[in-house]
Amino acid sequence: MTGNMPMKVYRIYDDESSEGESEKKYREGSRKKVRWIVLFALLTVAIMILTPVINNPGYNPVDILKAFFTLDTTSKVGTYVWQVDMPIFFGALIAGAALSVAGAVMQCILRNPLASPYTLGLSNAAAFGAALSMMFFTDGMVFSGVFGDYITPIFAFVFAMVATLIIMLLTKVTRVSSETMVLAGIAVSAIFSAGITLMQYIADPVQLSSIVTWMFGSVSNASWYWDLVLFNALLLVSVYFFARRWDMNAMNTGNDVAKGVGVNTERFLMIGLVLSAALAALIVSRFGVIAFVGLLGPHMARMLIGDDHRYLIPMSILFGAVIMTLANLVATNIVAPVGLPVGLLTALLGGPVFIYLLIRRYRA
Amino acid sequence: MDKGSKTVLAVAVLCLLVVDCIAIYPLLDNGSDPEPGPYDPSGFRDITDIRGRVVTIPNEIDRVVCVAAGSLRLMSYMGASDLVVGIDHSDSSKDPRNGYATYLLAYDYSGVPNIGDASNETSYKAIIETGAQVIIASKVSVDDLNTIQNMTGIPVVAIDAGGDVTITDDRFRENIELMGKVLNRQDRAKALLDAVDGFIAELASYSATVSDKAKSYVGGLTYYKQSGLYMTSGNFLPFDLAGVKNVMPYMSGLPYNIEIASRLIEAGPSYIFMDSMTRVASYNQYLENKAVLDAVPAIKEGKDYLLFASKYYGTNWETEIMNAYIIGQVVNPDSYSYNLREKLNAVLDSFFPGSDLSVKDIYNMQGWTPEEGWL
Repeated sequence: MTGNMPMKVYRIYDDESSEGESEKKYREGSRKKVRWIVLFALLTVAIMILTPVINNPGYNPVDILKAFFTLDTTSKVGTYVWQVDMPIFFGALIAGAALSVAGAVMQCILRNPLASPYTLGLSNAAAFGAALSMMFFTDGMVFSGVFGDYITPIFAFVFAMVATLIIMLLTKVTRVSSETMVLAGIAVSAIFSAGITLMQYIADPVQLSSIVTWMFGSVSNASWYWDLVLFNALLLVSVYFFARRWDMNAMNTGNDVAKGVGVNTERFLMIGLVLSAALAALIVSRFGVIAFVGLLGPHMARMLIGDDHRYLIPMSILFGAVIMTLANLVATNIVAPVGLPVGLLTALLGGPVFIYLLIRRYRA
Repeated sequence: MDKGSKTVLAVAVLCLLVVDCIAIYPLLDNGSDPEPGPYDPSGFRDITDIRGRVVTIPNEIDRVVCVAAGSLRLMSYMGASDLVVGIDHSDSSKDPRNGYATYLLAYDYSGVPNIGDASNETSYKAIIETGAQVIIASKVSVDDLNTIQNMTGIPVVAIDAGGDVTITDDRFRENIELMGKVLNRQDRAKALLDAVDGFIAELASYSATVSDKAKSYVGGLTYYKQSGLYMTSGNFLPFDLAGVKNVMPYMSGLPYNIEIASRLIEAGPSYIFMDSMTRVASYNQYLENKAVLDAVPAIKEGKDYLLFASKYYGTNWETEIMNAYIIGQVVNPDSYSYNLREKLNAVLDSFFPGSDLSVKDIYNMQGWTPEEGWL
């Protein structure tokens, strides 16, 4: 705490003019990063306002905006905006933000740019759990009522956490580096993927349809209740990671350096992995497999504002939110009244975009 | 904690408050467990659906939306096509295979709005626009059913259209009885179930007189868009009702793929029956291995026949009985002695009340007859 005491500035440069230049450049860079963050926050708000207008082409945009800004839930258009459009918009926003921040953290602590909830196998493990529940536990006779709504999300979450546990145990037992955790994730992912294939093979057509639909990933089953639950989880985990932003910056320079400045890297690796995996698992368990957002969000954010986690964490959150809300807007309207699952769209577009980013970065 | 962290924490808490408030406001109005909709001239009643959910529906129902496989079929069986105000994308598509869903031939649903697939914003709104009082849906997941209900504010009644539900299965009876309750058409439900019992009893009486059960194979069955000569089942109900022996082993209630010609040759069926919907794909597979398949007794002796499509967007339950009548007369003509066309028309009349669809119409529309061979 500095209170009202004037802050003491230590100089490490001999040349005063060069020091001023460097500080000025640093401050300008920081301001530029903040400007990007503000711009993306405004972009998110703009998408929020545009979403009900685009989603309800049969209604006068003025009526839609009136219902939006007055929180009207009594008129028909108000019902569409606040009962259908907005819970789904916030579902997309939260899912994108959560997957993206989880990806940013995983990439840092595992020191691997390919780390994400998807590549670590959490998505496939969750899909396996969901398929298992749809095959054997949704006949409604035993679990209906109290648990009816939660069986699939619970199974999906539990299996995603099982995958995380397996990866952590593998890493502990084999003493491999954190970088190779991604390889363990790929192996775990392949095992669960085989399990899903087996489930699909023995499922009847109706069960199969449910499993496949779930695996496509869609935020259309969002509700205010679930949005609230997921938002609170996102906020708590994000605040924790933001508070540890200096530790993550230190880890960016290598474990030895991080240890040298007092970061308990092993402990932070475990806590960071569990928290980011739990956040991603919550999202996947509710909305299904949504590929590439956890990879694209942080990478695109990094290209704009660099590796500094003071900015990277909020920017990843915003980037993920923008990607998902835009993708959901397109997915909903492109072949209306049939909607494309947003997970299908992110998978379709995410791959090529990621390749483009890689090439651009390589050329740079 | 430094100044930056404090600011972020403050902003985060502010965000939490704002978003929680925005989220709670509509939650108070709509809730996750919606009140019955505004279409309540006659009051409400509770019914328990096939998934064990207790659903509150209006006493009198005259506007229904059908979602997912089997829902529109069951509405058709209840003679309630006039109550349907919305159908899903698959039932309203122009796919030529729709001509193999008997209920789409029996009643004209071409003017009924397409509500999409009940899994996105546009589709939820299309359902609301229909003014439906109840949605009939065969989705497996309780979560999916509740999501549609919460989004539309219209009660969703679940039925079971599982691929392994046959017409002799208790689940078929439960579906019909549930539909009778929902639509207040218990008499119609009873009449249909009595008719089904009558057909089954009649076929069983013929089957009892068959001493030597001929070895038979069924191919061309569909299973989630797979089909062809080698898609078969060891659990094909029409064979049981027609007094013939299935050459394929029981694996599960569902069709499976035997993949290679040699398994069919080893089985050596005396009769081959092929699903009419997939007959072209099956024929092409036959041509690929014609040289070896011609050694199969059924093919060598020309005992290959077509059947009504057993599945299209769920099971065509009526064709299980119609196919049993065809197979019985083909394989055991002395025991299964009747006017086939009259029998088939009687089944159609029982399942599709008020429809003038005849078996001749179906043959004309689908381009085949039982008298023609498959090959």
